[in-house]
Amino acid sequence: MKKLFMILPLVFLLCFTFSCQKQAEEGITEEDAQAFTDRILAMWNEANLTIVDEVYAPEIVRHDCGVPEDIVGLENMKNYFENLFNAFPDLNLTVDEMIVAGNKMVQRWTMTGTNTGSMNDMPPTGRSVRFSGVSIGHFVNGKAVEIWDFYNALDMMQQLGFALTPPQSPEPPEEKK
Amino acid sequence: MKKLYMILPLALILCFMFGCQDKAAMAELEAFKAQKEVEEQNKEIVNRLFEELNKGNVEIWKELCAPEFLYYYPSETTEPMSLEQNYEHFQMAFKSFPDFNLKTHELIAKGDKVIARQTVTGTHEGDYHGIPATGNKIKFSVILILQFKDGKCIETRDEGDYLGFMQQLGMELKPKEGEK
Repeated sequence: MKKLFMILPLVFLLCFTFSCQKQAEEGITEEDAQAFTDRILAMWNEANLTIVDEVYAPEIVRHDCGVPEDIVGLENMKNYFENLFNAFPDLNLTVDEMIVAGNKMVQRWTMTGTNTGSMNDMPPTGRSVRFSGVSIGHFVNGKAVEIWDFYNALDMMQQLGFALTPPQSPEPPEEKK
Repeated sequence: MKKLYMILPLALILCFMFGCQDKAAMAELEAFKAQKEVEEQNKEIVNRLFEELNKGNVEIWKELCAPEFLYYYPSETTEPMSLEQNYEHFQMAFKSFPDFNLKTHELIAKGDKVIARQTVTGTHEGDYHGIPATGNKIKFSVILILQFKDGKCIETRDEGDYLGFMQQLGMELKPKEGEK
C-alpha cells in the first residue's frame, strides 16, 4: 500500500506532462485538404467523372450562387460536370488559394476554357473564357458533404459575347433632345 | 517516509526530462493559442463591420481598414478599388438601397483571414450606376474573403451573383450588338 502511494504521485505527474500535448484538431487536416484538392483538379482538368465518387459523399449538396436549384447526390453531380465538360472540353481549373479550418475548406480559383459545345440550350460560341470564383466546402471523413460555388458568371457571359442591356421600353412620344 | 523523499526527486527529475522534450510541443501549443486569439479578434472586427454597414454607417470602412486597403471585385481583378473608392461605392449603394442589409450565414476564420458567406438584400429606391430606381427588392449571395494585419483589414475579395443582382434591377443579358 505504501509503495502505491509513492508511485501514484509519479504517475499523475507523468500524465500531466504528457497531457500538455496539442489537442488534435477535428475536421479535415491540411494533408487531406491538399489530397482532396489534387483529386478535384484531376477531375476538372482530365474530365474524369469517376473521381466524383472519391471526393463527394453520397449525400452531397451543391449550391450555386447563380442557380436557385441545388444539385443533390453523386449522379446529379456527374450530370452537371458532364454538361460543363461538353460545353468546354478544354476546361482548366487552377486553385489560387486554399484555406482549411476545422471541417471546412475555402478555395479561391480560376477557370478557363473554350466554349465549343452547347450549354443549357445555348449554341457554342467558340469563345474563350477566364473567370474567378470562391468555393466553400464542408467535409466529413475527408469527403465533401456540402459545397457552395460562387463565381463571376457576369464576366463569363460577357466573354461569351453577351452584354447587360436595359429593358426594352416604348419610345416616349415627341421627345426631342 | 525516507523512501518517499527518495522517490519524489526521481519523479520530479523524470517529469522535467519529459517536460523538456515537450518544449517543441509546448511552443507549438502556445503559437496555436495565439493564432486562435487573433482569429477570434478578426471575427469580432468582421461582425462589427457588418453590423455597422447594416446601420448605413459607411464610415466604418475607414475605421476598420488600413490606408492601403484594397477591395477586389471580382476576386482576381487587376484593378482593385482603393479604400476611398470602396467607401464611395458603398455611399452610393446606401443611397440606392436605403434598406441595404447583409445577413451572414457562415463565418470562417483561419490565420489572418476571415471568410463570410452572406445574402445581400435591399430595395432599389435610387439610381444605381445609371439604372433608375425600379422599386425592386433585390436578394443575392456573396462570399467575402477579408484579410487582416495588426487588427486592421487590408484586403477584401468578393465573389457573388452580381449577374443575378443586375437582372433583378431589370437588366437583361443579350447577345452583343453585331454578334451572331
